[in-house]
Amino acid sequence: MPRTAVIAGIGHTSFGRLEGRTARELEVEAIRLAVSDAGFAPADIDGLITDPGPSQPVMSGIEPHYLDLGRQLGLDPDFAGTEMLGGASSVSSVQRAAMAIGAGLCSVCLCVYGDTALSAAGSFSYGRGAEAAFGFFGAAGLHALAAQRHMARFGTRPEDLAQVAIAARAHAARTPHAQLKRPLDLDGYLASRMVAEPLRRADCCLISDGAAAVVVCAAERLPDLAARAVKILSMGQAHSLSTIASPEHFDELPAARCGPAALARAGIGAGDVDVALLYDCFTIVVLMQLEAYGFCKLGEAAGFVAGGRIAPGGALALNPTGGLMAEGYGGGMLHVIEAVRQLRGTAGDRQVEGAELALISGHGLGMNTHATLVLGR
Amino acid sequence: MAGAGRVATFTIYRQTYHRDFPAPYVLALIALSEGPRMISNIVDCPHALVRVGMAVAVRFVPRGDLVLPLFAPVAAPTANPEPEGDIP
Repeated sequence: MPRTAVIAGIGHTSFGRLEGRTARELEVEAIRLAVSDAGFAPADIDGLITDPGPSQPVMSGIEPHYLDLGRQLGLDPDFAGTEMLGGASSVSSVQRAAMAIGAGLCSVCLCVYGDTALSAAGSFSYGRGAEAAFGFFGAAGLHALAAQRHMARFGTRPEDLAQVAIAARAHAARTPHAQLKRPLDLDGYLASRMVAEPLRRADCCLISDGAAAVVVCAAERLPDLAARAVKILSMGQAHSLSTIASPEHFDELPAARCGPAALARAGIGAGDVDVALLYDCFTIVVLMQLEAYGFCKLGEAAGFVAGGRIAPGGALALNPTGGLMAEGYGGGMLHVIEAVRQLRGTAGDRQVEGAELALISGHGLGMNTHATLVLGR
Repeated sequence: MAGAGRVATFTIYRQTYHRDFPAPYVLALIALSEGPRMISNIVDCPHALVRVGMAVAVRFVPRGDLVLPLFAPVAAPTANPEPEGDIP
């Protein structure tokens, strides 16, 4: 019988432009906070999984990211690794920790995201393989292709994408540590400069400096689970390794495979989710995930988000911190942390009354990779 | 490959990412009539008139050391084109 894994501690630094701080310093700060929040001592840690973010290298020469970080922490862990699933890496790090704990490889595992993508990185103007010869650059262009196709297939409008961006800003206004609290209305959205049509600056998530960590541990390590630990009810992962040349590339996220399956393994459906933390690198990805997870039918996300349904006080509590669009780019670890806060009942002004079930998603590597976590109180 | 196809989706880059590609320009996914899909550019078409489903044909254009297959509309594009069937 595999051991049950729980999330026992959370911690993060401030997010924004943190000039002069190194990623390593930020990672250590977030880890200290998370370990202390869990009530563990540093000597209790026997696992380390890292998400080095969009600008830190996964490998420096022959040394993977976790090795240098673990060395600085003075760890000799029983289990360690660095995730390589792009934007799905934070969620998959928690999955890997839970699997290692379940299999008995370690008992108290740190999962940490950290980066100084805002102050250290030059840009995110990378070419997309050989297709850079046609001017195919960056993540926005790829997601713009997805958005344009969604619009052509289903009649989705810029005003529908706007609902996601506007809701995120309204949520961030209730998040003390949010990087972008300036309110946004429809006029402001429409006036936002175009990056790659139909995506505007306001459709794109933030770039941030910051770090966030959680402690995953075996349930048996916590004598009193009641107060702070959150259960991992189910997990899912799906990869669609098709290239952009594949007809289904923009029409079905791998989330459509692992999302509903993970919800089913937890014994629930999308309608039972009290709080959804969906990876929101671009507004269109939120709409596509609402469809993929079954919150609404394929092609109906625009109608679903209309009328403030995902805004504060709306019927679906979606990214109550403002997410990647307004809280800050925390890989996906800030999403995990907010899910834990909501289930603990410590989310302050953002608290969803009686929240018992949280869904977290990670979307990465273009349209290729997806990871799902379902957490419960 | 006859070099004929339709626009499966596209984006108009409005931000310049690289000095060799000054914005605006149209990047498109072309569904070739034989089945395969490829990324290319739409040329010789006002940007505002590019549509998903638009019929296009290849033309080979030198760019630096390369000769690239780019695509242009088959018929003169209009603001309100007749639907061309299912989205490719």
